[in-house]
Amino acid sequence: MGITIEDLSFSYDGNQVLYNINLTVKYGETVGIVGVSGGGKSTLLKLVSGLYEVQNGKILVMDAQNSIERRKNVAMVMQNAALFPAGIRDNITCGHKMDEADILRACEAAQLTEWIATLPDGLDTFVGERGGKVSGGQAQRIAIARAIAKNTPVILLDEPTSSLDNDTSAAVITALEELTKGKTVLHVSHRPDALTGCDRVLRLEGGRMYAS
Amino acid sequence: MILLSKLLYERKILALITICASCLTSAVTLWWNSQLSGIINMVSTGVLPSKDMILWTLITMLVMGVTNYAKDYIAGYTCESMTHDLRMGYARHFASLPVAETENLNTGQQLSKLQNEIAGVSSYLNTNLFQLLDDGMRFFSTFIWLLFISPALTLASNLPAFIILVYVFWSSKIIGLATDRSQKAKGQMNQYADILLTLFPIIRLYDATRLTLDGYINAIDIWKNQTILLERTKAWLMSLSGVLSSIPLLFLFLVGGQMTINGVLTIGTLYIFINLSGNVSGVMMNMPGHITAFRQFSANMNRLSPHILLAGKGE
Repeated sequence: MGITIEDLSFSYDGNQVLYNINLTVKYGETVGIVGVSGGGKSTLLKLVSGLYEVQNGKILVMDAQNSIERRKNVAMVMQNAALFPAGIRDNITCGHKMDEADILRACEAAQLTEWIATLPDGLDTFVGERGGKVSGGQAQRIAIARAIAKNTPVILLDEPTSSLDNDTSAAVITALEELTKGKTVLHVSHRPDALTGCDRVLRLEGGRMYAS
Repeated sequence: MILLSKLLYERKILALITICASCLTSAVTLWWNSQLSGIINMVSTGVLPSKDMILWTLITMLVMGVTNYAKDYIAGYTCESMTHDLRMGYARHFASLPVAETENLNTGQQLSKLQNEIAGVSSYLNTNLFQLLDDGMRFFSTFIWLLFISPALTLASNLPAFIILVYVFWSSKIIGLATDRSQKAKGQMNQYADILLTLFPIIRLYDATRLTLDGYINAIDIWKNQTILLERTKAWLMSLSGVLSSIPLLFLFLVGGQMTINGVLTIGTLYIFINLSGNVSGVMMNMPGHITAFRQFSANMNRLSPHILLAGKGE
């Protein structure tokens, strides 16, 4: 099984955010979750990815329950691509040893190759403080290349195209298709149209999960 | 320095009162020294000072105490008011920004500005600005008065100080550049710390601790090396300046002592020169510190200037 969530409840400082969530995502399945802002979508992804510790209930990602093990099995692309103040290469490898061929493959899949070829320093081009030297679309594709390079069975997407304009998001959507090919995907968005390619779409409202 | 003139303009009446208080204090100090010189001259010739003379001296001492207190109080009040205007101007600037721009602000960088520039400027305003003005006032009034009493001794004891000034200006420029580099490195380090906080989820998800730690350690190392270089440069240049600044006093004793022995100068007048040497060569002795602090203050003010929105009236 890709992702299994059983009787999951979660609260911040006494405020209940998620109530008794149950969800099963089969291996290779893409599940979309739609809901308004503040409905608990991002919190659910942070719990699945192991960034937050489970308080009540159970989460299994590729049969791993421990948050450290869960983190090893997931890659996540967020709304605002957070880049390290380093070169493109380091932003993809995150400082881990990686074959040049794997890095180039990740760049190709993330639609970065043509742009990188135009840069004098290529893969070693500095992206700036907070990615200030690259555009929003380029930053998001670097974040996707990072997720591709991690090569995990589960992909979590937290509104990856919502902060981009239509022209830019086309390249990012192509990159996302490459990233999610053959993977178990949990994709959250406040826009139902962003989840059109999903096998199933659920609704998260007021911390409770409903069939869409 | 446009910002400083704007701040002073906002509090122009207070600034004028402070300048007047400083002038009055300098005048009373010189008057006190003149009376003391007279008493010493009388005592050295075996004549006791009259009761009226002692009474006037006591009144002068009292007036000197009151004017000094008033000067410090008014200067402190003016500086605090200017610091308040500066902080309010910084807050007003942020309040006037569009939301989109506010969202993209780097908290670390802004915090660094608050910690470094604004704190530095406030501290300078409170401890140095009017002290510098006061020193300048004492320097010029004393120098002119000493020239009037004995031009030969004044020039002999203070000319070396002008040569030292050249060294002082050169050394303060070097120190100023090193200070600027150190402050920039500190800003970069704080900015990196803020970026790390923002990137925390990514660091955990992609196990990028080593990558980010290396970058942060690098930023700390740059700041550490710049600060060590600054302190070393300061120590070398300022200790040499301290040695050089004793030369005017040596000249004063050499020339003034000879003049007193030869009967050209009275012991009371020599006393005035020794007592007031701090007002002339002493000010020069403190000049490296003053200039370094002023350069640092000026650099901070220039960096802050685009982020300060003054109300146009004192608040």
